[in-house]
Amino acid sequence: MRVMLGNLVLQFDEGFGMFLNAFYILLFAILIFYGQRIQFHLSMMEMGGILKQLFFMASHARKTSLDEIKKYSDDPNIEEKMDRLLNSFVIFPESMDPAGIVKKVEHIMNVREARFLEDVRRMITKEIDESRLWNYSNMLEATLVLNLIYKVIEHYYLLAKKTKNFFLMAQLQMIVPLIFNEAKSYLLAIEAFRLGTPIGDTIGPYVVHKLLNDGKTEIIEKKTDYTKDTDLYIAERNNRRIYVIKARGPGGNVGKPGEAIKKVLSRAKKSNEKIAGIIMIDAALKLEGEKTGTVAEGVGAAIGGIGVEKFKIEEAATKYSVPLYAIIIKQSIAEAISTMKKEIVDSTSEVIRRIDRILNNELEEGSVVIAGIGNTIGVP
Amino acid sequence: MNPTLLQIDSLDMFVVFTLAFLVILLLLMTMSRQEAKPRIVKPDIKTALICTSCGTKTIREFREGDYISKEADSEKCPRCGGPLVIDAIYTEQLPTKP
Repeated sequence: MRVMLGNLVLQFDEGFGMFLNAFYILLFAILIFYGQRIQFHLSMMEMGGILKQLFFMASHARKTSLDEIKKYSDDPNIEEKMDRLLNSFVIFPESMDPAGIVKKVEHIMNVREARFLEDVRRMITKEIDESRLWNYSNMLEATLVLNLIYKVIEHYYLLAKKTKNFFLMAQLQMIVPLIFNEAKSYLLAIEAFRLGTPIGDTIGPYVVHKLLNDGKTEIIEKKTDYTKDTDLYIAERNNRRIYVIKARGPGGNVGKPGEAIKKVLSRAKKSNEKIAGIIMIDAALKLEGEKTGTVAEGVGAAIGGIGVEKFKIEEAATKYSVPLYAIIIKQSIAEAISTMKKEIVDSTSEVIRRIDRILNNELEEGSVVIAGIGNTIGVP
Repeated sequence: MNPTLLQIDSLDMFVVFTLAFLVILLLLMTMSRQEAKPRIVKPDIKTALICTSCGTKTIREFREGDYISKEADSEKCPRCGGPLVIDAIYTEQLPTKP
């Protein structure tokens, strides 16, 4: 066979066609019998790379947290104490008989929260203010999550590798990009908690703080620690009595807003005071196509977390027939747990405008409960 | 000008094809590997201060210990010399590749 390429003539011998066919048949056979194995090895290499990155993130988080805490501690066993904390766990109550499970979950979580904070306190040997201690507790929680993500992904990677299970590796490969993004968010969160800056989730407490200090609200009384780590402000705005609830800051803390709302409604009922509505302000996860800082309104209890506080708010609102209004500020998971973005800060005036509109035009006569939900880090 | 004749042996061709296949496979494997160390980019955090006398807003870099409503004792309003309080703490842009 001859092929003319300009001035060049390529002359193949008679066996060329035969060898070309043999090559394709060989290639086909390789892909038929070893295609999945090749794919498995490709996936394994990709997962190995991601696992290395996760390990780096977990190690970086641990080192950052350790270096930060060492500024306030000369305990020689600090690393051991920290590792014990980072490997701590929570066993959730049995749910075979779900009646009364909320109380059990609440109890377990209260014990866990108190123990975690006390463990952080025990690591500190020098004088430290309470806000910083809370921030360090949040920082270590984020470090714990990163450590956990790494360990779980490593577990499935090693399991798939050990059993040569292509489908397990493929499942891991499908889910890892989402988990990896979450891990990156936690890495940013550690920096925010270390510095004590407001995070995206702080928008709820930030809005109510602004509402109380914009010159249009007259604060009558502040009740510090109205419920655990939660403050209540009794105030007047637009000729209406308002009860403003937010976690106690400026340390990183979410408080117990559910318990506080329940207490306000119960006391109002006892004193025959009418509560016309509850307005909850919280950060909410946006869909990919939505803009950060978009404000939306709806009904229901706008509160995340494990569900205990949400349950209490819904139960109290139903018991006393109080309408629940929700205003949410949209953001991604990364934005919610890292230093607040300008777009989120800029949404504050819009949220306050909407609160005023609800107070003036939409609710019946009576007092109103306004709750700023979220981590109050950086906001007193 | 006479054309140049190049004789190609089929066995050579087979070797070339097989090698090319292996190189492509290797390239695919290398491309699928992620970089081992992610870059840690620290966010640029700003603190916005507001003058309690004239309402002038000033922006500076965030300093450790800053929190909302904190009075900035060491700073005065550049316009009227009045006291400044922290109004907002934010980042303009979230690092995309931490």
